Amino acid sequence: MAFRLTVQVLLVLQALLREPGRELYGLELSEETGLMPGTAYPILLRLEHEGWLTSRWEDVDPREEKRPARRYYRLTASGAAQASAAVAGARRPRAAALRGLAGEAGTA
Amino acid sequence: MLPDAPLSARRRRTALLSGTVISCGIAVGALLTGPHPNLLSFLALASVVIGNVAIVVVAWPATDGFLVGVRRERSHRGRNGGTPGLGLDASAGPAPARTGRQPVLRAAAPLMPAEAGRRWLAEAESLLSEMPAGRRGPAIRSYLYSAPRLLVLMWVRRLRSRTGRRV
Repeated sequence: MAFRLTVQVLLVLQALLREPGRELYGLELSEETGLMPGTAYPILLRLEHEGWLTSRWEDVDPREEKRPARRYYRLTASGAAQASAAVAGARRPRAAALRGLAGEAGTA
Repeated sequence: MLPDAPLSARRRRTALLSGTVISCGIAVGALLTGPHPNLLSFLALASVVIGNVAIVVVAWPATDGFLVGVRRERSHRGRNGGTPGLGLDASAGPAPARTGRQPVLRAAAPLMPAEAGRRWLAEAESLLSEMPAGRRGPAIRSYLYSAPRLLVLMWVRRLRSRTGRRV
């Protein structure tokens, strides 16, 4: 993995992992993660560069739809597996820290 | 690009370029013919030239304004006709809707590697056009804040791909 798993990256991965086969476009991702689109875009680029995501332009006629085509992102099969592992790995230390804190509270 | 352009757009571009050339010429001339060229005068010259270039970069997309609709109507290139106003091809994806045109983002896009800049712009304009008006300002700012980092990332990736290394 050539990128850091920041909180923002994890939020994007979690949003994509909710329904791994589902395609999401920028605005949906932004709303689901709470990230600004300018923040989410570099993350999506990196994930795509790493092969975790694929993207495509929506095939619609903007005149009929009265809006421009969207760019859709979807996890690849290997990307979904890696993302699940990454998200689980990021949760583990937090759970361990909570257990540790609970243990300290119990002994105190 | 110029021969197809409507007269007023051509005039605006000519005026922009003429103003830049004249002011840079005057600055260089003043430096060369001045009595004692020193570091300060070189710095003044550099600031005039940089300022002029910045004005051209920022103002150029604005001169393109109504060219977009005219050229698209003429060319009938279809919905994947490319991002207008930047001499772009279809590989970057669909052209953004006219209502979603963002001059500030259009000024920043040419600084990125061509294909990456086109995609960034097309995607940003697509997203912004669907966003409620009240949220567009912060979203544009977020694109602009992330642009310098993205610019570095894209150029580094481009350079490394040329040398066969992965970023």
